[in-house]
Amino acid sequence: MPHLTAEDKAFFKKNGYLVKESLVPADICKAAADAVWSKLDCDRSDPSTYVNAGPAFPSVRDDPATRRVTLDSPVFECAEELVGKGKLRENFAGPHLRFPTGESDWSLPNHGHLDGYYTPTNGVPEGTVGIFSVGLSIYVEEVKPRGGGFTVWPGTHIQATDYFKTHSLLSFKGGNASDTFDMPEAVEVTGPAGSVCFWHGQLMHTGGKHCGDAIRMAFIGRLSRKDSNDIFLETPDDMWTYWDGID
Amino acid sequence: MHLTFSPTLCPDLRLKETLDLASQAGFDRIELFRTWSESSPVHNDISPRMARDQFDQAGIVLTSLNIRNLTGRKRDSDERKLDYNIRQLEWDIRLARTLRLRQVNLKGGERTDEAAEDLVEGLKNLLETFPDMTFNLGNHLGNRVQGLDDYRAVLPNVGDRVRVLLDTGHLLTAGEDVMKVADAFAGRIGVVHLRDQKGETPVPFGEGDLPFKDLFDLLKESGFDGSLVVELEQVTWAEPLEAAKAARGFVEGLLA
Repeated sequence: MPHLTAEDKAFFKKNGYLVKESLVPADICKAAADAVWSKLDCDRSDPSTYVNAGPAFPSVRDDPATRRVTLDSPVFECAEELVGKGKLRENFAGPHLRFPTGESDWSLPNHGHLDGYYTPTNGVPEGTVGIFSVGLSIYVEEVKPRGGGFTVWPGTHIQATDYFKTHSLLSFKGGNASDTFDMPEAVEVTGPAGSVCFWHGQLMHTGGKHCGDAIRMAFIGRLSRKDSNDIFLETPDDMWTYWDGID
Repeated sequence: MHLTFSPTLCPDLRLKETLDLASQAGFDRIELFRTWSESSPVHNDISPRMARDQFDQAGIVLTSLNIRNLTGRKRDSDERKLDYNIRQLEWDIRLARTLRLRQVNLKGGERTDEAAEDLVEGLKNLLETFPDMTFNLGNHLGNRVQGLDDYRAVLPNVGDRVRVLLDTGHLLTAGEDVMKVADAFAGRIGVVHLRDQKGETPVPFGEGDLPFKDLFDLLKESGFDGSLVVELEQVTWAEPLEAAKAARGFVEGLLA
């Protein structure tokens, strides 16, 4: 029984993202959240300590609860429904937290980025780009509006794939394409625990400004095709050539 | 043996213009550089697919790509970081494969023991990752592989798919005996970069110190069937087309 409907896929194709609420079971979310909380330098029972706390990337990759978020829930299967059964390399999302800033002057971000681009500190080798098919942003606790939600610019995946038909993948420093693309209004993704945003690997995105009270407890992952190394520089006429689940 | 055009003659021209120049000069093969020249297939305004289309439209075959050096170091912080450097080279090699290549040219790092270790280790790693690729290891003055002794130190430690990129110009600049190096590795030469020089100064083919005829005879005897890449670096002649034609004519005359 598929998890995604034809409407879901059509929405993803047009907008480059799709949000499915309550996709990850509550017990899996809770276990993952508990693992993260054990690594934070703030007091779970005292929200006043959340402001500008850390770390943003707690080390819980080896905790079984982390793996379960992606692989013992329907998340990976949904991604396969987009790209093709058996086509994705198994991988799972890890925590990318955003902490309350203590500020109240909220606005949508003006600039986003494409993932996989080199900066001096992010581990991506200079002169390379890490390409993947499907991004995952999984909320293991509720993320309310203005609470640092994952923010996307719908439709920019189409602009990006068109752009790279005639330009090098390396042509954006740090993945910043905001000045090149016609940027629509951004969408801040919110939702209860268990919500998942699936996003196209070349969709402009960023983390929103956090003016809320709760820690944005997102698990973010990137799923690549098994044959990604052989095709990532290809720019076919039909941008959905390597997406078996998208008509 | 087949003649191949090099963008060293026209580093400021984009790929399409470079291909036009190569075609007008009578070449049907070309070699490219990932860095250094405007004809690079990673120029901002070109995609690999466009590059392939431009090769096809010009009727020119890409024979190899000069990728980044295997230095074992992270350039922006100058740390020793072989795995990082390997990932850069893997990216370049995948680009080369997208451009239909099954061989690339590369050089080593600095003249240190550390760079020598990383060169051998890195080549082994690449051979394993890309079982259908050939790697032409180039010599360059000041590079980890500068001449005969350096090749002798590296080649026995890596697989046969690591070949010699015999760069005559850099051998002459380093004061190395071109024929001695060619003779030592006659059966393992993958590609030859032809540049004639008087001392360290590039000159028109036939006017410098490169023993063209002896070299070609040796290559013929060894069964070499790779590219003779015509490098006309730092040419100041007003007409690059005429320079390319003259160099091609000179080499073809000797090969006839």
